[in-house]
Amino acid sequence: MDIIFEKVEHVYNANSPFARRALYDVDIMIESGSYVAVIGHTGSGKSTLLQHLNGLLQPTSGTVTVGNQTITNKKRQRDLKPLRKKVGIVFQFPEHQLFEETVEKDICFGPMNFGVPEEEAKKKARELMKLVGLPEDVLAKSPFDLSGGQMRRVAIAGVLAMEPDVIVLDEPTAGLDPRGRKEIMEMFYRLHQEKQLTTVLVTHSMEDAAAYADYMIVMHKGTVWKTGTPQQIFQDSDALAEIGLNVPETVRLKKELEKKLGITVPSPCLTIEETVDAIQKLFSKVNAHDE
Amino acid sequence: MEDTILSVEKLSFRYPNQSDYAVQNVTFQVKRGEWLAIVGHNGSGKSTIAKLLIGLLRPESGVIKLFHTVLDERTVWEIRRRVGMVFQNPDNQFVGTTVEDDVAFALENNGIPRDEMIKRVHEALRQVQMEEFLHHEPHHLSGGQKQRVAIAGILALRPDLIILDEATSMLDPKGRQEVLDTVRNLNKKQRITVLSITHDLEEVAKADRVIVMNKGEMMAEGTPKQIFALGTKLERIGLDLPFAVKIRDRLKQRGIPLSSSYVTIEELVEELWTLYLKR
Repeated sequence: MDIIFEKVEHVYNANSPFARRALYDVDIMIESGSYVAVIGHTGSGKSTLLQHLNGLLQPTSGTVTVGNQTITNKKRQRDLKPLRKKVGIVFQFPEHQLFEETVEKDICFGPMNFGVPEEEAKKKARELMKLVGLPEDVLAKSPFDLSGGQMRRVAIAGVLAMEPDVIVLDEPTAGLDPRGRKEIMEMFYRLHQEKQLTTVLVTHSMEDAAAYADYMIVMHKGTVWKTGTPQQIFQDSDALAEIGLNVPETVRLKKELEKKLGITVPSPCLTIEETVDAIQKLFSKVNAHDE
Repeated sequence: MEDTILSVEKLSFRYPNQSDYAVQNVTFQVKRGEWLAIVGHNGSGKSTIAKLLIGLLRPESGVIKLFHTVLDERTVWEIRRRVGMVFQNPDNQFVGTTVEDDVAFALENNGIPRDEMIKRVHEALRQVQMEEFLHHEPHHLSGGQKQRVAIAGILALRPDLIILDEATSMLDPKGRQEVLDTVRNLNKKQRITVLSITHDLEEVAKADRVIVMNKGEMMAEGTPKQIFALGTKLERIGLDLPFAVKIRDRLKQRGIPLSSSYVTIEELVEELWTLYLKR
């Protein structure tokens, strides 16, 4: 299910003295089955953009197309319901949205609202526990007795229970410790690969964007500044710095090394492993040359 | 004589109906003008310590002294006037309808004269680079902008001690850098004492001294360099080493003879360059 934005504009409080344009001239294409990272400085329009993906916000002008659904400012809210099932959004701090008495009820809430029979929803909830890495006995507990990291997994299971084709992640690891961060990111990557889930990651972490995304959208002051593969985006660190963004630390190290040693490192150095390999090669090459 | 601004002695705390201690037998001091970082994984007890320090929770045993006064029910209000706390989630700390009102709120509560109030609001917002948002509504700001406004609200009160409880974890890298630079500036120039609670070891590198928490207990205490020398011990308790240290450790494992101390990217490049030339 491809997602296409054409000339999308969004003005908050349109036609009022408080009108504020948060998005304009946004033209993007997110291919079905891809993993796309959306980056941008705080206030660049990332959050407004992602709320258009399932019709929580409608463009004040322009068109958003998700699969065979078209969203314009003319569309009635109630016609957007099928879209909500296809596109699941994991908001920042999704655990704040937990509300039911038990984890099981919380996860079943969404599917049952869309008419899935209770037994089927419960079966699904059990499967999801495994998928998000929680023991099954958590199902009977109150979500509020769990740790922060566990609560977040439950909230994510609640989104996955809708069996979306597209999952949108808004800073999914904010507030987690490094181990929790890594576990959650690996979990989403596994889901993306196993279920061909189209994944849209909104993040401040250039490292995550570099490590997981096939394609990147860079937002700046309410519009698209640049799109491309991580390798293309991170090529020009000076331009990124101008709009308040950094390159991943691996790329920074590569650039510093190239400058200091007066050489070119051929690897894009998008992950720690790639970088360590590239540096090691540098030294073994010199060895071979000496001999 | 160095002035001890905060002293914690044999502090222990358990949440109701829990048999395990969230904080157990923790003792440390903070001197005026110092930046102390408390680092640990989620659930290590670091945020519980912060809540104990401003009297949001009451210890099971142990003594907390702030500004040479024992923290108890009688003194807590006076002590809170001198301590500014920034929480992780800015959405839970807004009261004003505009950015300006929000920053002014606590000043008004403390009876600061109007002229002085206007001056301080502008000054505080300038320090967090949010001055152009003076008349914006806080709930229309993005997460990072909100947090900077929350920090401005505290700066306006000119506290003796600022506690940052994961306060930068929702900011983008540049926003985080700006906030940390601001805090560092206040710490150095106005000698405001800083206690930052974080799991970000890059942030820890900026502190004068670090305490590592694990499962409610203090696992280590020292300068950032001493702490980073613990290496994989930190990774084992769910923390992440600074990037340059990670790369250095991996290169060493592959037989490249690098030094063992904490390094920045610049220092690592310098070392690699020296090795490269020797070949």
